[in-house]
Amino acid sequence: MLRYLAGRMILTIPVLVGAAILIFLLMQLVPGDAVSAVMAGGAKLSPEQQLEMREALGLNRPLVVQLGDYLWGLVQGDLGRSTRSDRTVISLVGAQISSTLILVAAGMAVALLIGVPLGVLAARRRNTLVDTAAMGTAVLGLSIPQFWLGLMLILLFAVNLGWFPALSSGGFRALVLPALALGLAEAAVLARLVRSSLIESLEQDYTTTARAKGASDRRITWRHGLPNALVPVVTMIGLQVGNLMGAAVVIEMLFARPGLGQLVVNSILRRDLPVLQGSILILAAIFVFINLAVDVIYKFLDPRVELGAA
Amino acid sequence: MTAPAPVSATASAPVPVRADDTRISIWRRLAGHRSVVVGGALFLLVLTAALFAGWIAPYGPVATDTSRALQPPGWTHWMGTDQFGRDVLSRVIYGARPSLVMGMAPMLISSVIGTALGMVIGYYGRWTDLLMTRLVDIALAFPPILLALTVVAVLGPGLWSIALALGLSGIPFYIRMARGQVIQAKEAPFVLTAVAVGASDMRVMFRHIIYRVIPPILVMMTIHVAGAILAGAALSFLGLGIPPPSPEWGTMIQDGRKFIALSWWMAFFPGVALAVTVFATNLLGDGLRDVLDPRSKGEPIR
Repeated sequence: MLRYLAGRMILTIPVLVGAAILIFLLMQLVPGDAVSAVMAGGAKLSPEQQLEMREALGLNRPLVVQLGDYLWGLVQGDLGRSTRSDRTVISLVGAQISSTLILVAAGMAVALLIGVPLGVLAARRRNTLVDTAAMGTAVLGLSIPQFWLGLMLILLFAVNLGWFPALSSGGFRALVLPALALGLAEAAVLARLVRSSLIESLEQDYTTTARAKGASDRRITWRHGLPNALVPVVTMIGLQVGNLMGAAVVIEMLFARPGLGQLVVNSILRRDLPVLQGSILILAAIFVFINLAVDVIYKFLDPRVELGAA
Repeated sequence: MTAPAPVSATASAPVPVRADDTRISIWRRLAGHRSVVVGGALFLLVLTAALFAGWIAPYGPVATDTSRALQPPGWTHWMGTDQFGRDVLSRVIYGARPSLVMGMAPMLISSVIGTALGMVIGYYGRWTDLLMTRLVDIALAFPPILLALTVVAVLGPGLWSIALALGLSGIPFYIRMARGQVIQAKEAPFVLTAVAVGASDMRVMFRHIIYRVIPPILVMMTIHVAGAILAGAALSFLGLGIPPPSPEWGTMIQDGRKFIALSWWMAFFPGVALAVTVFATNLLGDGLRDVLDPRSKGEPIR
């Protein structure tokens, strides 16, 4: 187990370095550089001043040197500076990240609390009206755009009923609508997976054995079926966290909620590339670490898996 | 060189699409599958709206009439009007065009490039496989829509930037799928037989292995369209899509957001259109999977 953990952790290093290189190279493809971005912002610079600024920022060095410099900075926790304000990227991201992570966690909680019971219900009442209704709802849930669902939740619960605030500034009540908007689609994904996985597990020999020993339906589902059915669900949760982090950016904009969403979208609109680069990289790193955790949990649940065979 | 035709029948291929009678039965099974029929019909409806928007839409998509701004749904404007007095129904109909582009173009880009790459590295293996698998791992380290968002930032906002961004960020999923299928198929008896009788690499890949690759890829393509339409609308909602006044569902929802307390219909109807389109595609994907690739559970690409 310990060897697996160590091996799995070492495997994440090239992925993280690769991700940093990929995003660095992507940013190089953006037309213009930090200096032209400042000028597009209204600053008037003479050609000499431009040259001086490029020199100061190290933009006229070879690409490989700049990349090495960037990676070395990353190792030391330096993500660069915003071109639009004087703040460091790490402080900008650090100020917003907790809000985004809380939203993602709340969305995941919604997905689990609704998705798993719905999937179990559909599997136990397989091929009945309940199953068809549950799975129909799930496909519909998969198809509804999260930001539109969020807006409709605002219309119903904030504008008409006044139960929750429309714009979310902070606090638990302000988290409810964004978390629902975010989590319902993933609940649909989970419900479908739990259903198919549980049905499969209820057809296994160990289920037949349990039934032969006189276990009740309820006991078979919860004690024998579900724990085995949840193994693929754990992997899915890892992927879903990534989806949720992406969707959270959109949902934060909808609810005007502070978080990385505002930071990312504004950095794109203002062409503040270091901030964009840093935010995306940090989200990717968190995603990688969550998947690392997921793999370790998976190994714990199913000791047969081997390293690299994900 | 003659094709060892009956070989595929002896192999335990999940879908022996090669023989003509099974091909017919696949069409028949598709036509008899409820999800395929309902999804297909709804999708045709959206496609018709996109193709014949000029004839169907009662008003021009950008025709303003400020004297009729923010009218609720009624007989003259079935879905009401927006803040400039534009007919929401007409804009919803025209909005099918960019949405289908944002759904289909990424699917085509990623499926062609990803499947080809995945098949080649899966077949030839060795260091290209190792390298590509690492690259795929790196690309998959990014939450999908965020990678697309970054590419849009590079390319600048617009419909085709979004399509290209979603197309590029979808490639790793196809590589992984095609590679996995090829690696499994390489050991299958019908492929080993083809190799043994001296079939060339190209022939083995495109006459034999490909029939193992196509079914799951087709399913993935359908589900990808659904995901790409949603992601494209989300990126447009963020203001990274077609500039106004062109009608686009995500942008219309963003517009409607400002008027949500006054005129719910501005955001409501484009969202319904979006949900119906994606629902249709998801149903089609589910049906295709039931018929073509019953073993896989599939994961959505976003």
